[in-house]
Amino acid sequence: MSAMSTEQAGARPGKNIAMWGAPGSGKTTMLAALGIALARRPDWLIASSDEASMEYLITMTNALSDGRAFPLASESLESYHWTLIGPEQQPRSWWRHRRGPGALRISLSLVDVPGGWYGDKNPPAPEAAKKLQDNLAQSEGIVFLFDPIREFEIGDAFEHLHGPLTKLASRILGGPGATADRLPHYISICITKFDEPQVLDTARQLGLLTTRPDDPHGFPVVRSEEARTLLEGLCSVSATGSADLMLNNLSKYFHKDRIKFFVTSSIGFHLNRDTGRFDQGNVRNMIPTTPSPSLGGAPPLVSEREFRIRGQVHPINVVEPLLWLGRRLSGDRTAP
Amino acid sequence: MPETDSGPLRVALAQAIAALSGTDRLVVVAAGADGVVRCHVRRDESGTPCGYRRRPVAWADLLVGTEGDLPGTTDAERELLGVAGLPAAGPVILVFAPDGDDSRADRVRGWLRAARPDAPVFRSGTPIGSLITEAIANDPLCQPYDLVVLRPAPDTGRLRLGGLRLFGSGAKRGSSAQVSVRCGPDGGMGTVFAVVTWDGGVPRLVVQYAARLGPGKHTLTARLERPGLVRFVDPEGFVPAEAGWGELVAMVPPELPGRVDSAHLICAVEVYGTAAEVAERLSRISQIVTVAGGSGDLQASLIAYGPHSYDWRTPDRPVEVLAWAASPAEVAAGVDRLARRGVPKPGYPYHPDAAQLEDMLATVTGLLREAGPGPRAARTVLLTVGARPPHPPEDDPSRLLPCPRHHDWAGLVRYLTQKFGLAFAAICDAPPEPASGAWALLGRDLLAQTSEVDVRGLGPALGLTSAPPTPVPFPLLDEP
Ligand SMILES: Nc1nc2c(ncn2[C@@H]2O[C@H](COP(=O)(O)OP(=O)(O)O)[C@@H](O)[C@H]2O)c(=O)[nH]1
Ligand SMILES: [Mg+2]
Repeated sequence: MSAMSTEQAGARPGKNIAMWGAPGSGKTTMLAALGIALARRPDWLIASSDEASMEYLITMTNALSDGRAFPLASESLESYHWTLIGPEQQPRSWWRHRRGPGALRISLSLVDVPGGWYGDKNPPAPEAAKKLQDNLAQSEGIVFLFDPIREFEIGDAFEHLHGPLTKLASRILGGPGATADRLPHYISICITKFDEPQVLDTARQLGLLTTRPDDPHGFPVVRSEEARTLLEGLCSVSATGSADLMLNNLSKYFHKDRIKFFVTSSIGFHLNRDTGRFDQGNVRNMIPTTPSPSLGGAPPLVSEREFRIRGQVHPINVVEPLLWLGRRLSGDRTAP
Repeated sequence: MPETDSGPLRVALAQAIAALSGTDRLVVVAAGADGVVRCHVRRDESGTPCGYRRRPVAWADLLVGTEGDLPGTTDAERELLGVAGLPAAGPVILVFAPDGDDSRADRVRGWLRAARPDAPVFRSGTPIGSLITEAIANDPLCQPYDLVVLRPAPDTGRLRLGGLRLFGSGAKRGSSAQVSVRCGPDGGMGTVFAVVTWDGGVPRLVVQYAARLGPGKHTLTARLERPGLVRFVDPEGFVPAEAGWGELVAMVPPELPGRVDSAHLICAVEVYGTAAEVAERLSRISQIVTVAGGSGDLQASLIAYGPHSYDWRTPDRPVEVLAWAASPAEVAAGVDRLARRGVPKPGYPYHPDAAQLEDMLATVTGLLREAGPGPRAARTVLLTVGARPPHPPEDDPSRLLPCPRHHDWAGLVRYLTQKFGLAFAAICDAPPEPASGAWALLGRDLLAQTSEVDVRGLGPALGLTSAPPTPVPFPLLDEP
């Protein structure tokens, strides 16, 4: 894993980034996959001055790579303090990956709100809901996770976005002396669970799939510019059809150029054991742990089952949403 | 004076018994210190020599003993010759054992030799009964011994009574013979194994046993204990049978029942789930095979399949063929073997919701293809007993992980139907209502629930057996 000691990384207060999404949308897993995602890249590494955050990263990286269990909500922290350390920016030459004093640093303070706060049958604990509100208000960046599987099955993404967003907007835009018409936040909208065949098939039907020529595994990708199209496509097959309201809402509250869409998967696609490549008809990288209550009948809802990871983890777009936020927040206008 | 060694007497007895034919009888009179005894040996209608011994008469009960050394008394002589019962003609052997009273011995010998001067005389102290028994036991067969079998005509199935040679004439005790026969349905009474000799086409019974070996082919080992006694030493379970010959012959059906003797029942069982679920599936199979096998000649196969492993650290469990085109008894034995094994617990690293049914179908396809174009069973039924659906060949909306080998169950069912005319029966722990998906296809001809299946009705319903079966009393011998 790419990790550095606190001294090297330097400890300075990071930009606050809040994570947000329906329960089970994959927030905790995404954070847990961060270590592996970085380990698979040549350029960025992660460091932390916060012992609990570092400990979590190490534990989760090991768990995801060996035990292949999804992280439990109870194992997660409330907030994480990490620094992403990038390659040197200038000059662009063969030694550009060397990290020196000029390396780009992105300090993150991430808050993972445990699932079940919004739209749950059990009303959320008031102090926890308040905590998220405060957190959103204090943060400059937001990672919002849209879980298409949950949207197929339950269709409550709008509900999960709408409530907190309205409250956030009234607090910031409706406050005394406020003049702005949009929230100041940058937001990464992550479509999670790209590895699910339903999501992949929708992308394929929309003609959004490409592969990177240098990818030895041949994993399919949806380019960031097309991620919004996929989201629209996924919304049209959602269980309630209210997902398009969600898209409307987003453009109503955030500046157009402060929104970016990502198609992500924390666990990635299954790799064919023999060929070491992506296998079109065998993409699922997880397996249910206990028998379904109705064997051979209607498949039980994915969102109601427990799974384990089947093979190697190849995170897709787990670091990128954070990098984009970090760059934009540190004033890097070149971040696409 | 003849020798006291009984060797020459043994030889003489063996020769005299061997020379007996038809209604001839060999008379042996033996006198010794205890008195006089008369024995005779003759062959019964199956040619088996049989020995008979009269009650020995003590000297004290005879005049010759009480009258001391009175001169030659015709009464005493007549009395002794009456006890000896020497025939005027036919083979006779006289045996004298040492007697304490020399004068009595001389007199008795004199009378007997005078009655049959041609009879050989031996001196032997060995009890004559045991010498005769031994000589009979050592007598080689003078007629062949056959096992009664029914030969079905290959075209019509008409049954013809006949013999299958066990021991040829000249066979000696201790010889053994192996024969292969097929048992038909026995109606619960067992099959009768009758050993006979033939007398102008008429069978003469030597011994008769009954055994419940179960329908199907069996190899028997018979041993000739002595003339007149054949024992079946392998397999076990032969008991002396009392059924009358005429009664048995009357029971022979004119032809084999239903002509369903070329059915093949392939049982595939899912050995995955809880131990109780697997035990119940196995017990259904053994019931069905026993019932169906008991009412016709049935080929049966047993295939076990389980879950796929989705963790490369746990090897996949291959489909296991426990019996192929074998007897129902072999399948029952396979079921027993499976019942003694542990069952993998549903869950990681195995897929909890599906089983490698598709690999089982591929295995069946391979085995049927291997069997080649030769004569095939007129009807082949695949009976699948399980709970879980198959894995799809590729990711699909069922959300079950695809088969690692990408076998396509629906395609295989289609192929098996078109290529081999397979019929499909299924017993599912909880069949979908209404029938749908893989279990609907696997149970296309019959779909039942494990806890409710009618095991007796299944054979006839699938055309494996005709009901009710007619018992066949004797073993069957198919033309090679
Ligand atoms: N297919 C797929 N499922 C995922 C992925 N990440 C998480 N999940 C599933 O979603 C469940 C909930 O994830 P979690 O990270 O705990 O969600 P949170 O409640 O938002 O923190 C996990 O147990 C997995 O079953 C992913 O990348 N792909
Ligand atoms: Mg969580």
